[in-house]
Amino acid sequence: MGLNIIDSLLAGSEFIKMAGFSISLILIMLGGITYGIAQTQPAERRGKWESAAFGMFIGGLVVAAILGASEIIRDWGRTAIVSSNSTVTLVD
Amino acid sequence: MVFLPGLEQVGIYELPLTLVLISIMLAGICLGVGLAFSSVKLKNFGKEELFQALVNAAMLGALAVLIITVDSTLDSFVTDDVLESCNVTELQNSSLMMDYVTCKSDIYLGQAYDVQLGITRSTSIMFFMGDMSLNLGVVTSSPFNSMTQTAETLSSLNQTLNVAVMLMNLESLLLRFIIFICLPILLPLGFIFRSFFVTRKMGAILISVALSFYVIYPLFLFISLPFLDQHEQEMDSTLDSLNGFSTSYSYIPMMDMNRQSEVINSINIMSSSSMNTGNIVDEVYHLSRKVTVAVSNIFFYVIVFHLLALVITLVSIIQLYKVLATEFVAPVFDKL
Repeated sequence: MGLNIIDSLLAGSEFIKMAGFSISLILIMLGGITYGIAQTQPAERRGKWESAAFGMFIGGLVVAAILGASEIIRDWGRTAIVSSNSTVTLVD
Repeated sequence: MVFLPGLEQVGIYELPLTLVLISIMLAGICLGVGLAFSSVKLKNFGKEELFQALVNAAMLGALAVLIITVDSTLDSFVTDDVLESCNVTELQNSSLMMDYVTCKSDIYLGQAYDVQLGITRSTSIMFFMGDMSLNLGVVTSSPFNSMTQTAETLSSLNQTLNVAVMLMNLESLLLRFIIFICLPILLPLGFIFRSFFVTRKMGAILISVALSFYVIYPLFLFISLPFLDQHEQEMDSTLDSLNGFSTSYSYIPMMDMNRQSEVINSINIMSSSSMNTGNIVDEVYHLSRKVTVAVSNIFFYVIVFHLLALVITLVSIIQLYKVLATEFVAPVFDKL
Protein backbone atom coordinates (compact mmCIF):
# COMPACT_ATOMS: atom_id res chain seq x y z
CA MET A 1 0.00 0.00 0.00
CA GLY A 2 2.83 2.34 0.99
CA LEU A 3 4.60 1.78 -2.30
CA ASN A 4 1.37 2.45 -4.22
CA ILE A 5 1.10 5.83 -2.52
CA ILE A 6 4.70 6.57 -3.45
CA ASP A 7 4.05 5.49 -7.04
CA SER A 8 0.93 7.70 -7.22
CA LEU A 9 2.83 10.62 -5.74
CA LEU A 10 5.70 10.11 -8.15
CA ALA A 11 3.19 10.06 -11.04
CA GLY A 12 1.62 13.21 -9.56
CA SER A 13 4.99 14.91 -9.31
CA GLU A 14 5.75 13.98 -12.94
CA PHE A 15 2.43 15.52 -13.99
CA ILE A 16 3.13 18.70 -12.01
CA LYS A 17 6.61 18.86 -13.52
CA MET A 18 5.24 18.56 -17.04
CA ALA A 19 2.49 21.08 -16.27
CA GLY A 20 5.03 23.42 -14.71
CA PHE A 21 7.37 23.25 -17.69
CA SER A 22 4.39 23.85 -20.01
CA ILE A 23 3.35 26.87 -17.92
CA SER A 24 6.93 28.10 -18.02
CA LEU A 25 7.07 27.70 -21.79
CA ILE A 26 3.68 29.40 -22.22
CA LEU A 27 4.73 32.29 -19.98
CA ILE A 28 8.00 32.79 -21.86
CA MET A 29 6.22 32.67 -25.20
CA LEU A 30 3.44 34.92 -23.93
CA GLY A 31 6.10 37.31 -22.65
CA GLY A 32 7.70 37.36 -26.08
CA ILE A 33 4.35 37.94 -27.81
CA THR A 34 3.42 40.68 -25.32
CA TYR A 35 6.82 42.29 -25.87
CA GLY A 36 6.18 42.17 -29.59
CA ILE A 37 2.74 43.72 -29.16
CA ALA A 38 4.30 46.36 -26.91
CA GLN A 39 6.41 47.53 -29.84
CA THR A 40 3.25 48.21 -31.82
CA GLN A 41 1.82 50.40 -29.08
CA PRO A 42 2.21 54.17 -28.83
CA ALA A 43 5.09 55.36 -26.64
CA GLU A 44 2.91 56.36 -23.66
CA ARG A 45 1.41 52.84 -23.37
CA ARG A 46 4.42 50.83 -24.45
CA GLY A 47 6.06 50.83 -21.01
CA LYS A 48 3.06 49.17 -19.40
CA TRP A 49 3.00 46.41 -22.02
CA GLU A 50 6.74 45.95 -21.78
CA SER A 51 6.73 45.59 -18.01
CA ALA A 52 3.93 43.00 -18.32
CA ALA A 53 6.00 41.16 -20.92
CA PHE A 54 9.10 41.20 -18.70
CA GLY A 55 7.01 39.98 -15.80
CA MET A 56 5.78 37.01 -17.84
CA PHE A 57 9.23 36.25 -19.12
CA ILE A 58 10.79 36.37 -15.64
CA GLY A 59 7.84 34.38 -14.22
CA GLY A 60 8.42 31.69 -16.85
CA LEU A 61 12.13 31.59 -16.07
CA VAL A 62 11.45 31.37 -12.29
CA VAL A 63 9.04 28.46 -12.78
CA ALA A 64 11.54 26.62 -15.01
CA ALA A 65 14.43 27.31 -12.63
CA ILE A 66 12.54 26.14 -9.55
CA LEU A 67 11.24 23.00 -11.27
CA GLY A 68 14.73 22.14 -12.41
CA ALA A 69 16.20 22.82 -8.98
CA SER A 70 13.54 20.71 -7.27
CA GLU A 71 14.73 17.66 -9.20
CA ILE A 72 18.29 18.29 -8.10
CA ILE A 73 17.18 18.76 -4.47
CA ARG A 74 15.32 15.45 -4.56
CA ASP A 75 18.28 13.63 -6.09
CA TRP A 76 20.61 15.05 -3.44
CA GLY A 77 18.19 14.05 -0.70
CA ARG A 78 17.99 10.52 -2.10
CA THR A 79 21.75 10.23 -2.31
CA ALA A 80 22.15 11.48 1.26
CA ILE A 81 19.60 9.04 2.65
CA VAL A 82 20.91 6.09 0.67
CA SER A 83 24.49 6.83 1.71
CA SER A 84 23.44 7.25 5.35
CA ASN A 85 21.68 3.88 5.22
CA SER A 86 24.72 2.18 3.78
CA THR A 87 26.93 3.80 6.44
CA VAL A 88 24.64 2.56 9.20
CA THR A 89 24.72 -0.93 7.72
CA LEU A 90 28.50 -0.86 7.60
CA VAL A 91 28.67 0.14 11.27
CA ASP A 92 26.60 -2.91 12.11
CA MET B 1 20.38 -2.60 12.53
CA VAL B 2 17.06 -2.35 10.77
CA PHE B 3 16.96 1.35 10.08
CA LEU B 4 13.81 1.31 7.99
CA PRO B 5 12.07 -1.98 8.65
CA GLY B 6 10.65 -3.68 5.58
CA LEU B 7 11.92 -1.15 3.11
CA GLU B 8 15.28 -0.92 1.44
CA GLN B 9 17.48 2.05 0.75
CA VAL B 10 15.37 5.21 0.53
CA GLY B 11 12.34 3.36 1.92
CA ILE B 12 9.61 5.36 3.55
CA TYR B 13 11.69 8.54 3.26
CA GLU B 14 10.78 8.47 -0.43
CA LEU B 15 7.33 9.68 0.59
CA PRO B 16 8.38 12.93 2.34
CA LEU B 17 11.04 13.41 -0.34
CA THR B 18 8.41 13.26 -3.10
CA LEU B 19 6.11 15.54 -1.13
CA VAL B 20 8.90 18.06 -0.69
CA LEU B 21 9.50 17.88 -4.43
CA ILE B 22 5.81 18.45 -5.17
CA SER B 23 5.55 21.36 -2.74
CA ILE B 24 8.67 22.99 -4.25
CA MET B 25 7.23 22.63 -7.74
CA LEU B 26 3.79 23.95 -6.77
CA ALA B 27 5.34 26.85 -4.87
CA GLY B 28 7.55 27.60 -7.89
CA ILE B 29 4.56 27.61 -10.22
CA CYS B 30 2.61 29.91 -7.85
CA LEU B 31 5.59 32.26 -7.55
CA GLY B 32 6.20 32.32 -11.31
CA VAL B 33 2.55 32.86 -12.23
CA GLY B 34 2.23 35.49 -9.47
CA LEU B 35 5.25 37.32 -10.89
CA ALA B 36 3.95 37.01 -14.46
CA PHE B 37 0.52 38.45 -13.74
CA SER B 38 1.59 40.80 -10.91
CA SER B 39 -0.60 38.99 -8.36
CA VAL B 40 0.86 39.98 -4.99
CA LYS B 41 -1.16 37.39 -3.06
CA LEU B 42 -0.12 34.50 -5.32
CA LYS B 43 3.46 35.71 -5.38
CA ASN B 44 3.68 35.96 -1.58
CA PHE B 45 2.03 32.57 -1.12
CA GLY B 46 4.48 31.05 -3.58
CA LYS B 47 7.42 32.72 -1.88
CA GLU B 48 6.43 31.53 1.57
CA GLU B 49 5.65 28.00 0.47
CA LEU B 50 8.85 27.79 -1.53
CA PHE B 51 10.92 28.76 1.46
CA GLN B 52 9.10 26.32 3.74
CA ALA B 53 9.55 23.57 1.16
CA LEU B 54 13.26 24.36 0.94
CA VAL B 55 13.49 24.23 4.74
CA ASN B 56 11.76 20.84 4.66
CA ALA B 57 14.14 19.63 1.99
CA ALA B 58 17.10 20.80 4.04
CA MET B 59 15.69 19.14 7.15
CA LEU B 60 15.10 15.92 5.29
CA GLY B 61 18.61 15.97 3.90
CA ALA B 62 19.95 16.72 7.37
CA LEU B 63 17.90 13.85 8.76
CA ALA B 64 20.19 11.27 7.24
CA VAL B 65 23.20 12.92 8.84
CA LEU B 66 21.27 13.45 12.06
CA ILE B 67 20.39 9.78 12.41
CA ILE B 68 24.01 8.72 12.10
CA THR B 69 25.19 11.52 14.38
CA VAL B 70 22.56 10.80 17.02
CA ASP B 71 23.15 7.05 16.96
CA SER B 72 26.93 7.32 17.05
CA THR B 73 26.83 10.04 19.73
CA LEU B 74 24.50 8.00 21.88
CA ASP B 75 26.54 4.86 21.26
CA SER B 76 29.76 6.61 22.24
CA PHE B 77 28.44 6.90 25.80
CA VAL B 78 28.08 3.14 26.03
CA THR B 79 31.56 1.82 26.75
CA ASP B 80 32.61 -1.84 26.85
CA ASP B 81 32.78 -2.03 30.64
CA VAL B 82 29.26 -0.62 30.82
CA LEU B 83 28.08 -3.23 28.35
CA GLU B 84 29.50 -6.02 30.49
CA SER B 85 26.81 -5.39 33.08
CA CYS B 86 24.21 -6.09 30.45
CA ASN B 87 24.13 -8.81 27.85
CA VAL B 88 24.00 -6.45 24.89
CA THR B 89 26.61 -7.75 22.50
CA GLU B 90 25.00 -6.63 19.31
CA LEU B 91 22.33 -4.20 18.26
CA GLN B 92 18.89 -5.65 18.66
CA ASN B 93 16.51 -3.00 17.45
CA SER B 94 17.91 0.47 17.57
CA SER B 95 20.96 2.32 18.85
CA LEU B 96 23.29 0.68 21.32
CA MET B 97 22.16 3.08 24.02
CA MET B 98 18.49 2.28 23.51
CA ASP B 99 19.25 -1.44 23.65
CA TYR B 100 21.34 -0.94 26.77
CA VAL B 101 18.71 1.16 28.54
CA THR B 102 16.00 -1.35 27.57
CA CYS B 103 18.14 -4.24 28.79
CA LYS B 104 18.89 -2.51 32.11
CA SER B 105 15.24 -1.60 32.57
CA ASP B 106 14.33 -5.27 32.02
CA ILE B 107 16.94 -6.34 34.59
CA TYR B 108 15.48 -3.95 37.19
CA LEU B 109 12.02 -5.17 36.34
CA GLY B 110 13.17 -8.76 36.82
CA GLN B 111 14.72 -7.86 40.18
CA ALA B 112 11.51 -6.15 41.24
CA TYR B 113 9.54 -9.28 40.31
CA ASP B 114 11.99 -11.41 42.34
CA VAL B 115 11.62 -9.11 45.35
CA GLN B 116 7.84 -9.36 45.00
CA LEU B 117 8.01 -13.14 44.89
CA GLY B 118 10.37 -13.22 47.87
CA ILE B 119 8.09 -10.95 49.91
CA THR B 120 5.04 -13.05 49.04
CA ARG B 121 6.78 -16.27 50.11
CA SER B 122 8.18 -14.74 53.30
CA THR B 123 4.88 -13.12 54.33
CA SER B 124 2.95 -16.34 53.85
CA ILE B 125 5.42 -18.08 56.21
CA MET B 126 5.22 -15.16 58.66
CA PHE B 127 1.42 -15.21 58.68
CA PHE B 128 1.58 -18.92 59.41
CA MET B 129 4.08 -18.37 62.21
CA GLY B 130 1.91 -15.64 63.69
CA ASP B 131 -1.08 -17.97 63.80
CA MET B 132 0.88 -20.78 65.43
CA SER B 133 -0.24 -21.46 68.98
CA LEU B 134 0.88 -23.87 71.66
CA ASN B 135 -1.62 -25.52 73.91
CA LEU B 136 0.11 -25.96 77.24
CA GLY B 137 -2.83 -27.38 79.08
CA VAL B 138 -3.76 -24.44 81.29
CA VAL B 139 -2.70 -21.68 78.91
CA THR B 140 -2.48 -21.28 75.15
CA SER B 141 0.53 -19.36 73.87
CA SER B 142 1.18 -17.75 70.49
CA PRO B 143 4.91 -17.03 70.76
CA PHE B 144 5.26 -15.50 67.31
CA ASN B 145 2.08 -13.49 67.17
CA SER B 146 4.11 -10.35 66.43
CA MET B 147 5.01 -11.92 63.07
CA THR B 148 1.52 -11.09 61.85
CA GLN B 149 2.21 -7.39 62.26
CA THR B 150 5.50 -7.60 60.33
CA ALA B 151 3.82 -9.71 57.67
CA GLU B 152 1.11 -7.06 57.31
CA THR B 153 3.77 -4.36 56.96
CA LEU B 154 5.58 -6.39 54.31
CA SER B 155 2.28 -7.07 52.54
CA SER B 156 1.55 -3.37 52.34
CA LEU B 157 5.09 -2.83 51.00
CA ASN B 158 4.37 -5.52 48.44
CA GLN B 159 1.26 -3.66 47.34
CA THR B 160 3.33 -0.50 46.95
CA LEU B 161 5.87 -2.51 44.99
CA ASN B 162 3.05 -3.66 42.72
CA VAL B 163 2.47 -0.06 41.68
CA ALA B 164 6.19 0.39 41.05
CA VAL B 165 6.34 -2.81 39.00
CA MET B 166 3.38 -1.65 36.96
CA LEU B 167 5.14 1.67 36.30
CA MET B 168 8.36 -0.17 35.39
CA ASN B 169 6.39 -2.30 32.95
CA LEU B 170 4.94 0.86 31.44
CA GLU B 171 8.44 2.29 31.16
CA SER B 172 9.63 -0.86 29.44
CA LEU B 173 6.72 -0.62 27.00
CA LEU B 174 7.47 3.06 26.42
CA LEU B 175 11.08 2.25 25.53
CA ARG B 176 9.92 -0.38 23.03
CA PHE B 177 7.37 2.10 21.66
CA ILE B 178 10.18 4.62 21.16
CA ILE B 179 12.35 2.07 19.35
CA PHE B 180 9.65 0.86 16.99
CA ILE B 181 7.57 4.00 16.49
CA CYS B 182 9.55 7.20 16.99
CA LEU B 183 12.28 7.09 14.40
CA PRO B 184 10.89 4.77 11.74
CA ILE B 185 7.31 6.12 11.72
CA LEU B 186 6.81 9.41 13.59
CA LEU B 187 9.76 11.22 12.07
CA PRO B 188 8.91 10.60 8.39
CA LEU B 189 5.24 11.30 9.16
CA GLY B 190 6.29 14.56 10.77
CA PHE B 191 8.15 15.56 7.63
CA ILE B 192 5.14 14.68 5.49
CA PHE B 193 2.80 16.80 7.62
CA ARG B 194 5.29 19.64 7.85
CA SER B 195 5.33 19.86 4.06
CA PHE B 196 1.80 21.24 3.95
CA PHE B 197 0.71 24.67 5.09
CA VAL B 198 -2.37 23.35 6.93
CA THR B 199 -0.63 20.52 8.82
CA ARG B 200 2.68 22.28 9.45
CA LYS B 201 2.20 22.49 13.23
CA MET B 202 1.13 18.86 13.46
CA GLY B 203 4.24 17.86 11.54
CA ALA B 204 6.36 19.98 13.86
CA ILE B 205 4.96 18.27 16.96
CA LEU B 206 5.53 14.81 15.44
CA ILE B 207 9.15 15.63 14.62
CA SER B 208 9.68 17.10 18.12
CA VAL B 209 8.15 14.06 19.82
CA ALA B 210 10.20 11.64 17.70
CA LEU B 211 13.53 13.39 18.26
CA SER B 212 13.00 14.15 21.96
CA PHE B 213 11.91 10.64 22.84
CA TYR B 214 14.69 9.08 20.80
CA VAL B 215 17.47 11.29 22.14
CA ILE B 216 16.61 13.06 25.41
CA TYR B 217 14.62 10.37 27.21
CA PRO B 218 17.09 7.46 26.88
CA LEU B 219 20.04 9.81 27.43
CA PHE B 220 18.67 10.96 30.76
CA LEU B 221 17.88 7.38 31.78
CA PHE B 222 21.36 6.34 30.75
CA ILE B 223 22.91 9.04 32.93
CA SER B 224 20.87 7.83 35.88
CA LEU B 225 21.82 4.16 35.47
CA PRO B 226 25.24 4.32 37.25
CA PHE B 227 23.44 5.58 40.33
CA LEU B 228 21.24 2.51 40.26
CA ASP B 229 24.18 0.18 39.72
CA GLN B 230 25.50 1.32 43.11
CA HIS B 231 22.31 0.02 44.68
CA GLU B 232 22.38 -3.27 42.82
CA GLN B 233 24.25 -4.91 45.73
CA GLU B 234 21.53 -3.78 48.13
CA MET B 235 18.94 -5.35 45.87
CA ASP B 236 20.94 -8.58 45.65
CA SER B 237 21.37 -8.65 49.41
CA THR B 238 17.62 -8.12 49.89
CA LEU B 239 16.87 -10.94 47.47
CA ASP B 240 19.37 -13.21 49.28
CA SER B 241 17.77 -12.40 52.64
CA LEU B 242 14.27 -13.03 51.32
CA ASN B 243 15.31 -16.29 49.68
CA GLY B 244 17.26 -17.31 52.78
CA PHE B 245 14.28 -16.64 55.01
CA SER B 246 11.84 -18.58 52.86
CA THR B 247 14.32 -21.46 52.46
CA SER B 248 15.06 -21.64 56.18
CA TYR B 249 11.46 -21.60 57.30
CA SER B 250 9.61 -23.10 54.37
CA TYR B 251 9.25 -26.34 56.35
CA ILE B 252 7.08 -24.63 59.00
CA PRO B 253 3.77 -24.56 57.07
CA MET B 254 4.35 -28.23 56.21
CA MET B 255 5.05 -29.26 59.80
CA ASP B 256 2.96 -31.91 61.48
CA MET B 257 1.23 -29.79 64.08
CA ASN B 258 -0.07 -32.82 65.94
CA ARG B 259 3.46 -33.61 67.02
CA GLN B 260 3.97 -31.21 69.88
CA SER B 261 7.68 -32.01 70.13
CA GLU B 262 8.27 -30.99 66.55
CA VAL B 263 6.54 -27.67 67.14
CA ILE B 264 8.51 -27.01 70.29
CA ASN B 265 11.73 -27.88 68.48
CA SER B 266 10.88 -25.40 65.73
CA ILE B 267 10.10 -22.70 68.24
CA ASN B 268 13.44 -23.35 69.87
CA ILE B 269 15.21 -22.99 66.53
CA MET B 270 13.36 -19.76 65.78
CA SER B 271 14.05 -18.32 69.21
CA SER B 272 17.74 -19.08 69.08
CA SER B 273 20.36 -18.10 66.59
CA SER B 274 19.45 -18.60 62.97
CA MET B 275 20.97 -17.40 59.71
CA ASN B 276 23.70 -15.71 61.78
CA THR B 277 21.47 -12.75 62.57
CA GLY B 278 20.28 -13.57 66.06
CA ASN B 279 16.78 -14.79 66.79
CA ILE B 280 13.92 -14.70 64.34
CA VAL B 281 12.65 -11.32 65.56
CA ASP B 282 15.99 -9.72 64.71
CA GLU B 283 16.05 -11.57 61.45
CA VAL B 284 12.58 -10.39 60.47
CA TYR B 285 13.47 -6.84 61.50
CA HIS B 286 16.55 -6.86 59.24
CA LEU B 287 14.54 -8.43 56.46
CA SER B 288 11.83 -5.80 56.77
CA ARG B 289 14.43 -3.02 56.75
CA LYS B 290 16.10 -4.41 53.64
CA VAL B 291 12.78 -4.77 51.84
CA THR B 292 11.87 -1.18 52.73
CA VAL B 293 15.20 0.04 51.30
CA ALA B 294 14.74 -2.08 48.16
CA VAL B 295 11.19 -0.80 47.59
CA SER B 296 12.30 2.81 48.13
CA ASN B 297 15.16 2.27 45.64
CA ILE B 298 12.76 0.90 43.05
CA PHE B 299 10.38 3.79 43.66
CA PHE B 300 13.19 6.29 43.41
CA TYR B 301 14.15 4.82 40.05
CA VAL B 302 10.59 4.71 38.77
CA ILE B 303 9.30 8.01 40.12
CA VAL B 304 12.27 10.36 40.29
CA PHE B 305 14.30 9.28 37.28
CA HIS B 306 11.45 8.54 34.96
CA LEU B 307 9.36 11.49 35.98
CA LEU B 308 12.34 13.77 35.63
CA ALA B 309 13.26 12.19 32.28
CA LEU B 310 9.67 12.63 31.09
CA VAL B 311 9.54 16.26 32.26
CA ILE B 312 12.83 17.06 30.52
CA THR B 313 11.60 15.28 27.38
CA LEU B 314 8.38 17.29 27.53
CA VAL B 315 10.31 20.55 27.82
CA SER B 316 12.46 19.48 24.90
CA ILE B 317 9.34 18.66 22.84
CA ILE B 318 7.87 22.11 23.57
CA GLN B 319 11.11 23.91 22.71
CA LEU B 320 11.64 21.94 19.50
CA TYR B 321 8.00 22.41 18.55
CA LYS B 322 8.33 26.17 18.98
CA VAL B 323 11.27 26.19 16.60
CA LEU B 324 9.86 23.79 14.03
CA ALA B 325 6.31 25.18 13.98
CA THR B 326 7.58 28.67 13.20
CA GLU B 327 7.28 29.86 9.65
CA PHE B 328 10.89 30.33 8.66
CA VAL B 329 11.50 33.55 6.79
CA ALA B 330 14.52 34.60 4.81
CA PRO B 331 15.02 38.31 4.02
CA VAL B 332 16.41 37.37 0.61
CA PHE B 333 13.01 35.97 -0.37
CA ASP B 334 11.35 39.33 0.25
CA LYS B 335 13.36 40.72 -2.65
CA LEU B 336 11.79 38.30 -5.12
